[in-house]
Amino acid sequence: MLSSAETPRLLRSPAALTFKCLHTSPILTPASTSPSPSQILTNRKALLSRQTSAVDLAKSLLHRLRRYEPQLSSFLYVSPDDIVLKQAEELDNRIKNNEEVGPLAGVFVGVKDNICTRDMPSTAGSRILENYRPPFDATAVRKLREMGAIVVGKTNMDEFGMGSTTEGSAYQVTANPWDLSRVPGGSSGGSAAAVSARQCMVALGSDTGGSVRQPASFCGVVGLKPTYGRVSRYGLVAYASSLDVIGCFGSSVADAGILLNAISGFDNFDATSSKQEVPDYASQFVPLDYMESKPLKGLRVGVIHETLGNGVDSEVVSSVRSAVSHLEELGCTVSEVSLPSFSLGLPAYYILASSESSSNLSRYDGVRYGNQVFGEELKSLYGDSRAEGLGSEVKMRILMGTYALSAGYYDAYYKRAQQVRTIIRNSFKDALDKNDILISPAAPSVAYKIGEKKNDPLAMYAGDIMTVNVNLAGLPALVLPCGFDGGSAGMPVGIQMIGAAFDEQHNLSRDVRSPCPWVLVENLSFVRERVTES
Amino acid sequence: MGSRAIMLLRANPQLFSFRSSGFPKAFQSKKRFYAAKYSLDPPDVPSLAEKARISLTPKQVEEFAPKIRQVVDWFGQLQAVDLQSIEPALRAGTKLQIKKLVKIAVASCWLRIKIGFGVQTTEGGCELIRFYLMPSLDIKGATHLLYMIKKTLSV
Repeated sequence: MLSSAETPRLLRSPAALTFKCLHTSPILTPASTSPSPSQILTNRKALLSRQTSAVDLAKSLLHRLRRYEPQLSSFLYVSPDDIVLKQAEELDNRIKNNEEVGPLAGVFVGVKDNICTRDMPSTAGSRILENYRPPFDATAVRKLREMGAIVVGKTNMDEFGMGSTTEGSAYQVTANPWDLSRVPGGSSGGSAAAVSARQCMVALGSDTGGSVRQPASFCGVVGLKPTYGRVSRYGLVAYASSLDVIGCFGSSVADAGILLNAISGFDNFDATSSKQEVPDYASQFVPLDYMESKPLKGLRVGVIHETLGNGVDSEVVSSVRSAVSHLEELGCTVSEVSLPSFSLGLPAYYILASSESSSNLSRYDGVRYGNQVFGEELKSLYGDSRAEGLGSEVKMRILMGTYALSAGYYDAYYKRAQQVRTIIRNSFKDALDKNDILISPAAPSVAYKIGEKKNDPLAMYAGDIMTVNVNLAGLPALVLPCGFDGGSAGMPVGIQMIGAAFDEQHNLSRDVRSPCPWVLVENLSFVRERVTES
Repeated sequence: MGSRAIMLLRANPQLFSFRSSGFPKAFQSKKRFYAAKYSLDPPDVPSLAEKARISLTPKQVEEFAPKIRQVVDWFGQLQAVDLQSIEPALRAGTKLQIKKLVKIAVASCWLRIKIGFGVQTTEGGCELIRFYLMPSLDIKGATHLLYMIKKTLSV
């Protein structure tokens, strides 16, 4: 077990890192000393100009993945080497023959385990779906593959998305690459840790109550939650159908944006997917050199007052405030916004999520889906299959949802929660009429220690306060690393930027065009994680 | 490392009183209205487990019951919020379809459908009776309908 005296890390603490870091992996060798804006584009350029081959990229990535996997345990299933190398070889042949390659050629993606992939087991982190191989690819995965991406494996997650630490996984606990004794966040902790440690370039996750944004904040990577309906949910194991979305992780905003571009769009298989046109996010990115001195002039930024008050760690508040003052230097008009209904969102979210999940998870009964346990009669077959296959957090949420939806209780809980949802939605809409982007921290603290929140459900739920309101309102949000907490722990802090519905490009273009990976890096003196091979 | 985030769990319900003025009463469901007036029984974990088809051992019931009770008590803070006349959200970002709106309008008698008929003589000498459906709105109905369309499109 890890001794308390040392904090084992895969990533060096921020003070030790400089731009001129040493790295032997070909994946991390940009020409200049500044961090590259987009790993996807850099690699694509290298591939198309024949500087490197996809097979070499694949080999070094797989080597790195396997090297860090014993410490991180971020993957539940890794694609066999020969399959990945075969796909890389096919890509190389296409490049050699000067054929068209997709926009995601040479991109290695990790997929969260609740997103169905045809050739890989998809367990949603649960024993009840152990060894389940879906007969189809999720739409998001299908689109990625059509565009040339290679899926390297399925990442660890809290069971069925229920949890904020990834300790709820029925298989293994993932560690935070910044401090192996801390959690990576949840429920997409495996995806966040994998991207943070560069085990894959980008990753897909799912966000129901902050499950992409909170781990992105804890692991110091970029996490993007699109508007509800922007990305098809076909193939995503349902947790709460009115709140679930598929989100993207990347090491830079540009990567997350390119990934979002690839997976967005209307899908006939998802009745809730939107027909709204998808703007080309990838074309919005402008390199730093082309920017004027005040690139963000005219952008109205609102800082949510309730998110920087009591209950939020002081280091988080100071990191976010300094990021905001940096944005002001870049030309934004910053004002404070008050959303008095903000704290109501958390109980409303948990009522809605528990209720919807109690219904969605009824299909795991050992007959329709799930591993079956023999029973003398049907009721005990269902009861025992579910008892054995589902974890304790999942069981608790199903029971709470069953209670909230019982006859006579519906008005008191579910309907009230839906009414609170209307209030929250309207308050965000009013705030976003006056501001382009709203800012809050992504989480009230930095990553917790493993085991800290295990026995206290309310303490764990409290950590979601910053993120759930955005799901209730269905808005897009982007989380970027904006600093570290000052102590010896040196854990990353994330800032959350919330935009109006279907306005992801506002978030992305403004942020990428400018600073967020770049100038923030230079001026706030934090460096995105770079693993030094020592 | 303790998290102070647990302080965020307590909302102050007295501060919240949300009313939307002039909201048509037709939207308020009268069906299960009684439940709000009754005091709610605390969760009975074994019966919930039976409804949810999950077999729980007595030890698990003992383990879950206090945690579930704690969370359900926490849910209870929503009871103190005044939510009169707030419409429950269907889901994030949906626009009610106009068809549904018309159905509701007809049911609430803002939009009345009149059936008129006319008699037509064809060339062969037969008399045909044609029926017509005509929507009719009085001023009050028109105002209500415009209000509902505005609400729908602004959501």
